[in-house]
Amino acid sequence: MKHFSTSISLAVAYLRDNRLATALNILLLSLGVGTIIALVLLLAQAEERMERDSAGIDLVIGAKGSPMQLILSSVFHVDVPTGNVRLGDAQQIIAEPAVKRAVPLALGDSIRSFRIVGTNPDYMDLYGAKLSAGRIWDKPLEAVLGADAARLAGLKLGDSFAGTHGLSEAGGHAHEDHKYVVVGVLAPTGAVIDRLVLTSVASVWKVHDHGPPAASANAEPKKGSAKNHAGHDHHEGHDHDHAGHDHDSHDHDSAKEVTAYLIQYATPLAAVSFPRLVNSSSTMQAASPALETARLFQLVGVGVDALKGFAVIMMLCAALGIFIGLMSALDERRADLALLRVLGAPPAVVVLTTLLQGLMLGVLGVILGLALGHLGAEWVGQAYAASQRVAIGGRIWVSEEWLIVASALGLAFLASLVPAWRAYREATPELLARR
Amino acid sequence: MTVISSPAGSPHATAERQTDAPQLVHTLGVRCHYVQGGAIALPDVRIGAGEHTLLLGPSGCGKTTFINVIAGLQTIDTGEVVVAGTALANLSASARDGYRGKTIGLVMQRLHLIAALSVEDNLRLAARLAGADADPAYLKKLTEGLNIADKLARRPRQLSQGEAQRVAIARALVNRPQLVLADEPTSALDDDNAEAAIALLLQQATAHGATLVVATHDARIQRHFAHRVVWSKPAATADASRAVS
Repeated sequence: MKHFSTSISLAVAYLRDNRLATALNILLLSLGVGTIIALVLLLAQAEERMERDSAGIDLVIGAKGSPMQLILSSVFHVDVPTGNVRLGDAQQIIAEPAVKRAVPLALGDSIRSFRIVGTNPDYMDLYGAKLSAGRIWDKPLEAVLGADAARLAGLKLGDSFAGTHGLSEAGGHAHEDHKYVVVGVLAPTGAVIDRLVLTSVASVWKVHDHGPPAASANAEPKKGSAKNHAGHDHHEGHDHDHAGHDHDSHDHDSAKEVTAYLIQYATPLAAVSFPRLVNSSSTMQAASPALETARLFQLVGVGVDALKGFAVIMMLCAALGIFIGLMSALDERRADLALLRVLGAPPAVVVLTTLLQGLMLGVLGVILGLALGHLGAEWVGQAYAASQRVAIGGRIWVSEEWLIVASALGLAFLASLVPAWRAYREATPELLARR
Repeated sequence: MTVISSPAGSPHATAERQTDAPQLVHTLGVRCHYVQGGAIALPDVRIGAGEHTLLLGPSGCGKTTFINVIAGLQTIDTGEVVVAGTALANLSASARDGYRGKTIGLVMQRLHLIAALSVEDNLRLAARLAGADADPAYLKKLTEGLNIADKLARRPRQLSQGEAQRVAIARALVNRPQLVLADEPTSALDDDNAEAAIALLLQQATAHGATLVVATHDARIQRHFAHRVVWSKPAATADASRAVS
């Protein structure tokens, strides 16, 4: 043990003696480790989050368009809807025996960027959400707030608020003449419902009664195609033209619209035929959350893999840096190390001193990398928290991280093995004895 | 196979001189071989405790090999080497490491101070590798005696040549060895510095109760030694060296 502590202090002295190379190797290793850690943390949380948000939803029915957009807007509440579908058409489809449960969604307004979702209490069941205060809505313009929405919007029971057209804070026109009253607040669930404001579909229709209802075609052409109101500011392209302007000509009742239905199948077999049935309709499409989520991760996966590959290359470079550093240090210090032997040190001291330098670089790089990775994930999480869409952060530990830590340390160890072996072979007392 | 050990001023005196001092180093019929090939036979030598000795001879005559054998740096094929009561031939490699750390202080021509460590850490390292932490009081006395007490925090590269040599001497003495071996300590120095260095070595060895053995081809310093072993012939052959005065 005395020799061990001698080796440690020598290794530290050598690392300090060569600060620049030491810092460079630690930095390189920590950047590699940090990048991978951050990716793993973010992906794991996104995956978990999406799994939780889409649990219990077999299929989503909505207006024709991009199926992924439909899923993103109706299940995860991040994108704007593809448009609206006529209530009558939808009700016809969900009457099919293949459907066990169909939860309606009417989107279009928001309060302080929290989406107002016209639905029925079944939506709460999807996430197992319970009221922490108050009661469920039973009249139009009564609202139940998700836990985060209530906290962050600063609303409590009995408060009233006006919804705003669109899904972003910047959204336009406020419905001052139709104010909602908070009648209930939900307990936190960790799912997307925490960030939603729930009300009846009828409320949404009522608010939009000055034109064709729901989040549908607006009566006033100059407000134009803002039927989904969602994100005028950033999704210029795709939400404006879905539900046609011709809705203006319909009388109000037949023009009642919903944005989407969340479907639970009666039997797993329904997955075979029911989506086809929906897609054969002229105005509606069916999208599977599982399928679209998988597709999303596939798309994202390419970028993630590229980043991971880059990070692995950084780690390999760090290992190579450690290896080269130790090898060239060996050339400089072979006499030093031989001197240790002359002074009475056993070979273990020479080997340990070399190995420990590599391992210390590894440990420091990993510690710094863990810090960087978690800070990075937290930073990304904060950035997203600002947009109040997904709750992620760096204050978690994922089991994959052990693997990353182990491989980084393993790399550092491997990189120092050959130099240590050479030190053992070459730094013998005879080296100094010979002239 | 004779060894000439001659009192100062009478180089022709014979070797078999009995001393009152107990034997510190005793070699008998030593032969060893080099890793790179070639064998060598070494003269029989006796050195009493406190008997500072000069091994004088041209380069390649085997002085360095002799130093290495005594230091346990070189294994022997046949013969007997006893240093401070320890028979080196029987020691395992790790036992020789331990023996060397405790019994021997080495001053090499190239000083081999560790550049990454301060002067003080260089000294402490030598103590730790020999198995004990340096005694602070002794360290203080040692460094003050060598006039390097104010240089302890410096790095070797911040030292002058003379200072560095004094640090090397301090390191050789830090474990209070019975035997200090110096291999060509003066050959790279000019006359004045060579004089000063050898005087310092002798003085320090005496002061700390160690016996100094210097191997050199540098005849300038021989007058400092009463006890000399003189090699004349390169001993690279397998034949026994013939000692000549």
